[in-house]
Amino acid sequence: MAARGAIGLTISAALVVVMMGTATRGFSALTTDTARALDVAATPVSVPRIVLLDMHRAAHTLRDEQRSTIVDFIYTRCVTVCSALGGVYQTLQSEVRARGLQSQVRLLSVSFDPVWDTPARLGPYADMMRADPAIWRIATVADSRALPAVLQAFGVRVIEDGVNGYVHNAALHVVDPDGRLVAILPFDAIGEALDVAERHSRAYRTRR
Amino acid sequence: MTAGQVVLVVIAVSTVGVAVATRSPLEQTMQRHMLMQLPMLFGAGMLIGSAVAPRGAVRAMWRRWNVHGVAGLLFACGVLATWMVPRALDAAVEHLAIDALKLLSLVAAGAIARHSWHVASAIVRTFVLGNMAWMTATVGMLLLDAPARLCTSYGASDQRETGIAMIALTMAGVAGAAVYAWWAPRWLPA
Repeated sequence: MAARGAIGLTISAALVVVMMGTATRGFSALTTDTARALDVAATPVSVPRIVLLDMHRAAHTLRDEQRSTIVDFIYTRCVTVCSALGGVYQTLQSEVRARGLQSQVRLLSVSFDPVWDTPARLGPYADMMRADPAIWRIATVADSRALPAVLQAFGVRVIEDGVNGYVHNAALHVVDPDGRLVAILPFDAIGEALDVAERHSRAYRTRR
Repeated sequence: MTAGQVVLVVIAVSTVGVAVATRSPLEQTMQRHMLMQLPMLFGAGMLIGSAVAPRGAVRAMWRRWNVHGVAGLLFACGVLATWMVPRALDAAVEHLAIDALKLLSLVAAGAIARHSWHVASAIVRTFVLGNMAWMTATVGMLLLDAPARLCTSYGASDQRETGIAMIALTMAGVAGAAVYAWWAPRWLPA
């Protein structure tokens, strides 16, 4: 009786370990964002080849063949997390200048609200942010049908907040010149994002 | 089956039915997801456990493998803990298959908990309740205090409110258990 009791307890404990282990990505992540960042760091993912339009209706892609790209996702009406991201990107822009990384790193803010954020509306936003087009482009998708695949690839989830805005996760996504998403970092990890971006563009040039 | 058992099963099955039919409104906020839907499913499992009891050889086997109900209660607590992990909640919202797994595991956990509770000693019961209270209160404080959103599916204010509600529910649960222990003296060891 005692033996079977012990076996029963062992089976139960094993089931609990399996359930918790699966839920936490092998006891490494409690949140979806952490798990996604670990997945991407372990296995970079190719980003979709889609067309983005900036304030001048000029076409861009998520990938730049010369430089690494630090991508974030915003909507210009946002007054919470996007304002913080705007400040972070201004700092990133001045850091790129200060470190002389213009030929290695570029910045890209992608609006996930193409209905409101038309190219015409992106202009005043870019001016307000004092975005230098040589370093920092602010764009939105040319075809809104491409948006779900992009958000999916980057692990960004956008939900309506019920008062005509959105709630979304904010992070710095580093895409290397091969068009692979290689790192997802907390939105305040400015130095680390630049280091990772620079390292990947150097590695790309060495390979070529 | 007696009429009473039939009634319990009907209530349990309709509770699960309601939970399935109202999936999207219930999972739209963290509060409704964690504090309404999860307890509904676990509670339905407990009702099914009350109505349907193993008999004869199955019952004897259950007692031998689940001594003092410890194995069963451990499993039930593990299921509840798993569905309090923010990543698991997100996955349930996003993937129907995982949500189905959530439903099945919670109903099973409820039924197993019901039959394990029945054979558990006062010490085991007190330990399990104390542990659950500690766990839900800790999760509540984490939700209340977290500097960032933990679920990609839910907003920050929803998360804070869920935290407050979880702490309040834990306190109510502990108070309820204390009252029950007072009125049922045999429940606690002398």
